[in-house]
Amino acid sequence: MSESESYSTNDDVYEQLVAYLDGELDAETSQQVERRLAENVEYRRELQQLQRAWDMLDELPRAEVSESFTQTTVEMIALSVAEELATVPRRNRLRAWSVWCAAGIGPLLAALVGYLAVSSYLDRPNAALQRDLPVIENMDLYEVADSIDFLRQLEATGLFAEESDDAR
Amino acid sequence: MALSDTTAQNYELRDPDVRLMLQVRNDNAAAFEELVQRYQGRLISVLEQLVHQRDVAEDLAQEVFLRVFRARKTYEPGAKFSTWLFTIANNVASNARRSLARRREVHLIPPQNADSQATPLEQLALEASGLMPTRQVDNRERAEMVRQAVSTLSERQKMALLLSKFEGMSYAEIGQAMGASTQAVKSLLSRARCNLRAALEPYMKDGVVPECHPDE
Repeated sequence: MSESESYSTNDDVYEQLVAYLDGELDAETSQQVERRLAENVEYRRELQQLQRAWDMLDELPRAEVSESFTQTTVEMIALSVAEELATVPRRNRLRAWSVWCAAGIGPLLAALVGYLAVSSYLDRPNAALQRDLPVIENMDLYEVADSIDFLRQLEATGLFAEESDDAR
Repeated sequence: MALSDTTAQNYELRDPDVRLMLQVRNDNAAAFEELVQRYQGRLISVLEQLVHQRDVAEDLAQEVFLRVFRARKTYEPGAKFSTWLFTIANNVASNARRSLARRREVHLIPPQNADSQATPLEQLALEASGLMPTRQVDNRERAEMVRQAVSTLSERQKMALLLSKFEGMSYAEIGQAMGASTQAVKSLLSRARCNLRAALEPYMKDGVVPECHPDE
C-alpha cells in the first residue's frame, strides 16, 4: 500500500492496533500488524499516538489511603457482623422450634398411622369371625340337616323365626 | 454454574489473594484486614475516576468490602481475586452512578467554567500552546488534563480502560468483571483509547508532554 493511500481509520484497524499494544493478538496477527507498521508511516503514527495517550494515564494520581480508612472499614464490617449475629438467634430460635415440632409431631403421626394400619389388618379376621358367629354357634344343629335348601324351607315357614332372629 | 475443583485449586495455588479470601471464608478477620489494606488504594483510585469525588469513592469502596465480607461463606475461587473484587466494584459503581444521577447530587462530569468558551481541557491545552504565554504545565495541571480527558469517555469505556491500565487485566478478565464478551471488551477498549487520544491530541501536539517511556 502506498503512502498516498491513506488507510481508513476504521474500527477494525483501531481494534487491531489497540489489541496489538495490549498483547491480545495471536502470533500470526501480530506479525501482520508489525509488517504493516514497518511499511506504513501513518499506521505507525497512529500506533505512537495511541501509545502516548496511554502513557499519559500515568499522570493520574493514585489514591493514598490513610490508616484510619482501613480501621474505619474493618470497624464498619465488624459492626455489620455484630448486627448479623444479633439477628441470628431469633432466626435460630424459629428454626429450632420448627425442628422440634417436626421431631415431635413426626413420630406421633407415624405411630397413629401405624396403629390404624395394624388395627385395620388385625380387624379383618375378627370381622369374618363376627359375621360367621351365628353359624358357628349353631353348628351342631346345622350338621343335623342334610342340606341348606331344607334349612331355608324351614326358615320360610316361620317356625324358627325367634331362634333365627336371635341367631342374627 | 458450579466450579470444577481443578479450577478452584488452580486459582488457590496461583493467587495469594484467593488464599487470603479463603481464610476470610473461615472467618479469619486478620486475613480480611490484609485484603482491605492490599486493595483499598487500587479500588479508591478506580472508583474516584468513575464518580469524581473522593469521599463518594471511599464510601463505595467500603460498600465493596462489605459485600465481599457478606459473600465470604459462598465464595468459590472461579477467577483471580482482583477480578472478583472489581466485578463487585463495577456493580456497586453502576448502582451508585444511577442513584447519583437520579438525585442529581453529584456532577458526574464537572461543570465547565462559565466565563470561558473552552472546556477546561481545551483551556489547559490552550495555556500549554503558543496562543497563551508559553509555560511548562506542572504535574498537577497535567494530571487534571488527563483526568478531564478520561471524563469524556463513557462509563463503560472508562471502567474498561482503568481495569486495563491500572489492574493490568486481560480482555477476558475485564469481560468477566464487566459482564461482557471478550470481543465486546476489545471494541470497548479500542473506542476508549481512540477517544482518549482524540481528547489529548491538542495537548500532545504542542509538544509539552514528556516523551512516553519506552519501558511502560
